[in-house]
Amino acid sequence: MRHRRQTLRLTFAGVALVSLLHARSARAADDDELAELLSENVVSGASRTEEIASDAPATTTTIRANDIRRYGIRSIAEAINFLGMGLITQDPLHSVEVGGRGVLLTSDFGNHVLLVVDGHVLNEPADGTAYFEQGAGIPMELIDHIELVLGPGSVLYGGSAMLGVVNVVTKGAASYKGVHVIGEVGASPQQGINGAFTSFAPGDLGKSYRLAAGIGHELTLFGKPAQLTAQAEYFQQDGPSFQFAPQTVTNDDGTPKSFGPRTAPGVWGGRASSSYTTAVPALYSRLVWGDVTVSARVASYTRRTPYVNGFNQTVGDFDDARSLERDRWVSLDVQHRGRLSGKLTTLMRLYGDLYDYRQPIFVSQPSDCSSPTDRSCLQVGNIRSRWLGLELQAQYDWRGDERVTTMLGIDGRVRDLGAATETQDGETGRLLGTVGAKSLTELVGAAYIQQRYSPLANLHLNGGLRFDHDPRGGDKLSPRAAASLDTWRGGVLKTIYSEAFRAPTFYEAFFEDSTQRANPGLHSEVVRSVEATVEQKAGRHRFLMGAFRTWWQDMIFLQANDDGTYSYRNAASIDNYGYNARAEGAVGDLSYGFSVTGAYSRRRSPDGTSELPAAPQLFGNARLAYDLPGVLPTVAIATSLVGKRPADRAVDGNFAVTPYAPAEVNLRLTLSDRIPGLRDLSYRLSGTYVTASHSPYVAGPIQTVDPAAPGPRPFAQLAPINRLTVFLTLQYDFSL
Amino acid sequence: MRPGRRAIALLLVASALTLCCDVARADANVPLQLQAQLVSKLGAFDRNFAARAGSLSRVLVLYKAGDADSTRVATNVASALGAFRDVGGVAAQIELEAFPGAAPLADRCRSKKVTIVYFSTGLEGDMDAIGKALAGVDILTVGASASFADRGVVVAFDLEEGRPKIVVHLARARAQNVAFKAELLKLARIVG
Repeated sequence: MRHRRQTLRLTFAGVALVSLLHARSARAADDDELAELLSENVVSGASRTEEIASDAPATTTTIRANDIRRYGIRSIAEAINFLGMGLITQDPLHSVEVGGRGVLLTSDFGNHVLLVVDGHVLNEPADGTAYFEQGAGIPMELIDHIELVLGPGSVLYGGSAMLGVVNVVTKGAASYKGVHVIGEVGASPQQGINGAFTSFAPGDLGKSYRLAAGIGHELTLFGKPAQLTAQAEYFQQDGPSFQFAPQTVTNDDGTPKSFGPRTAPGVWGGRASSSYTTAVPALYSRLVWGDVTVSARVASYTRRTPYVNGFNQTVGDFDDARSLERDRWVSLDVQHRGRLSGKLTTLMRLYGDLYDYRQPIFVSQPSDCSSPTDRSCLQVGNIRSRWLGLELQAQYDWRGDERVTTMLGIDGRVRDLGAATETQDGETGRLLGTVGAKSLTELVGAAYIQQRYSPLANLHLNGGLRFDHDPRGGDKLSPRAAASLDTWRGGVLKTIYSEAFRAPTFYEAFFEDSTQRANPGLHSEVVRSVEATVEQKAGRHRFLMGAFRTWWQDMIFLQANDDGTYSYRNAASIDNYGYNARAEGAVGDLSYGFSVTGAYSRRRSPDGTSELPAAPQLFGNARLAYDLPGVLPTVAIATSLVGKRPADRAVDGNFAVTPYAPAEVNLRLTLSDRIPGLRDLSYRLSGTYVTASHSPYVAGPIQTVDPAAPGPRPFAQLAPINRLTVFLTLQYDFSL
Repeated sequence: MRPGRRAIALLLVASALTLCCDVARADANVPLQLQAQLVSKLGAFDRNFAARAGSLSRVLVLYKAGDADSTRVATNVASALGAFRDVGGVAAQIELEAFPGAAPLADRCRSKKVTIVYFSTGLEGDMDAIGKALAGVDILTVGASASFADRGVVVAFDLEEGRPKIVVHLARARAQNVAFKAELLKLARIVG
C-alpha cells in the first residue's frame, strides 16, 4: 500500500514536471518564433518592392542604424567593411575603391557598384563616380538601413550595377524625431616609414571633426500628413602626416626631375604633412507629403592625396597643398506613388543632378605640363555632368494576393557632359592652353519588365529583363531569373542567374589630354553571374552560405598606345568564382555577426592571364556587441580582415620583387551610451587599429620600371595606411 | 509627329495618368504574410488572451468599404491567417468584413466575443471613433501600419531599420484589458 502511494506520488510529480517543462518549452518556442519573425529583414533593393530578404531575387545583407551607431561606423565604406558581406572597400588615402567577390578595379571610383539613396542613383555619368566614404555626403545618422545587394543588378537599375547595388534607405521622421546636434572629433598619430608611430604630440596629430544638425518632424501640410527629415553637416580631416622614402627620378634627358620646393631636385619623398586632407559640407533632406516624396542632396567633397600614384595623380609636386580634387553635387528626386486600384500601383519619378569635378595639380617640372612652358604650371582637369530624367513604373497584382505581380517601367533621361584640361602658368595664373575640350548631350532610354510569381506558398520565382539604349556602348539586354524555395523549417534555398553591363564613361571614351587619347569606339562591359545560397533561420539567428561563378567580358582598361600615349580599350575579361558565408544573431543582450568571402579571380587578355591587381581574394569581418546593464555602456568590438593581395602595379611594374600588400586586420572598439543624468546627451567613443602598414597601391613617381634599363631594379614603395584613429561623438537630442 | 516628340508625348500622358490617381494613405509596409504571422503570435503574449478566447479565437479582419487597396490588404491578411492552425495557441475563426461603423463594431465585439480585430489600411481616419467605442471592451486591436499606432489601436506594425517592429500603445492596451508579457514588450516600441 505504502509502495503504491509512493508510486502514485512519483507519477503525479513526473506528470507535473513534464507539464511544466512542456509549458516552458511551448513558451520558449513562442518566444523564438516571435523573435524569428521580428528578425526577418525586409528589403526593397533587389526587386524594388518590399519583400522578405530570403524571398528576394538576390543575396542581400542589411546593415541597420543601430549597428552603425554602436560599432562606431562613420561612412558607408566602413559599414561595408565591418558589417557587410561580399563587398569590400580599400582606402588608398584617396576616395576608397569598392569591389566585391574577388573583383576590385583600381581607379574605379565606384563605377562597378551602383549607389542608390532613397531610390536616387548617385553614380554620375561623366566618370561613373560614386563615393562611399564621407565624400558621399550622406549623414550617417540619417540612415535607417543599408542593403548590400550582391551580384549583377542591371535588370532594374541599368548600367554600373555590375558587382552589386548599395541601397541606402534614410529614416522617416518618426525614427529621427526632434532636433539633433552632433559634434565629433578624431585624432591619429604621425606615422613614419613602414607605418611606425613617430609622434603622439598634439601638434603632430592628424585631426578630424564633424559638426552636424538634423531634424525629424511630422507635420500637416495643406491638410495632408507630411514628414520632414534633414541633416546638414561639415566634416573636415587634416592628416595624419606620413613619411615617404625618397625616390630618385630623372627626366628623359638625364636631368633631375623637379618635385617642387619641398624636396631636393631629382628626389621625391619626405614627410607629407599638408597633402592628406578632406572637407565635406553636405545637406541631405527628404520630405514625404502624402504620396509625394522629395529628396535633395547638396554636397561638396574636397580632398588631397599625399602621394603621386597611378590612379588619380601621375604628376605633381611633393606635398603641395595646391594640388587637390573637388567634386560638387546638387541632386533632386521627386517621386509620386499612386494607386489606381487595389491591384495597380504606379510610380512616377522625376530626377536631376548637377555635378562638377575639378582637379588642380601644381607641377614644377615644365615637361610634365600639358601645354608647352618653361616654368611651373597648374594643370586643372575639369569634368562636368548634368542630367534630367523621368521614370514611370506600373505594377499589377494579377490576383490581388501578391503572388503574381508584373512590373513594367520606362526610364528616359537627357545628359549633358563636358571636360577640358587647362594649363595655367604656375606663378601668374595666366592660361597657357587648353586640351581635350569636349562637350556632349546624349539621350538615354530604357524599358524593363519584372515578373514575380509564387506558384506555391514556399516557392518564389522572379524573372526580369531590361533593355537599355545608350549612345555610348550600344544597346544592351540585361536579364535576371531567380528562384527561392522555403524547404525545411527556417531553411531557404535560392538560385540566381543575372547579367549587368556598364557603358563606357564619358571620361573613358572622350577625355583627352597630353597623355590620354579618346576612344569613342568603346563598347559596354558585360558581366554574367550564377549563384546559389542556402540560408537557415533559427530564432534570432541567421546563417547563410553561398557559391558564385562570374564571367566579365570586354572590361575597359587603360592601355599604352604605340606613340607613348594611353587610351581606354576593351582589353580583358575576368573569370572568377568563390563563396560567401554569414552568421548573425543575438543571445539576450549580446549580438554577434560574422562574414567571409573567398574568391579566385583571373584577368585574361592577349598578354596572358594574371591575378587581379589590388583585389582581395579573401576578406570578411566579425563583430560582437553587448549592452551592459544600467548606466554602463554598450561595448562593441568589430574587426575587418583582408588577405594578402598584389599591388596595383604588380603585373606591369617590373619591380625587383612583385609588390604585395600584406594581410590586414582592422580592430575597432566602441563604447556608446546615453550620459547618466543627461538623457538627451549620448556619446560614442571609438578607437581603430590596423595591423598592416601598407595598402596595395604603389606610391611615388616610380610606378613602373623599364626592364631593359641598366642597374638593379628598384623595389616598389606602397602607400601607407592610417593605422590608428580615436574619435569621440557627442549627440544632443532636443524634442520638438 | 516625329518619333522623339511622340515618345515625349507618351511620357507626358503616362505621367498624367500616374498623377491623377492621388490617394493619400499610409501603405502597409510590412509584408502582409509577415503581418499575418505576427498577428497569429500576439495572443500567446497576452496574459488575458486565453480567458478572452476560450476554446475559439474569433478574429475579425476589417476593411474600408469601397476602398480597393483596403480590401486587398484585408483579404490577404485574412487568407494568410486562415492558413494557420491556430491564433495565439487557440483554434481560430477568421471573419473578413467591411468596417460596419464604430458603435456596431463595439456591439459586435461584446456580443460575439471577438478576440482580435485587424484594421486594414484606409481606416486610419476612423480610429478616433473606434478607439472611443472600444474603450473598456476586452479585445486586442491591430493596425496594418505605423500610422495606426497612436490613433487608437493596441498594436500596429512598422518597418524599422529594415525589420518589422511591433508598436504597442500601453494605455490603449490597459483600456482594452490586454496585458502583454515582458518578453513581447522588450521587443516592441512602446507608445502612449
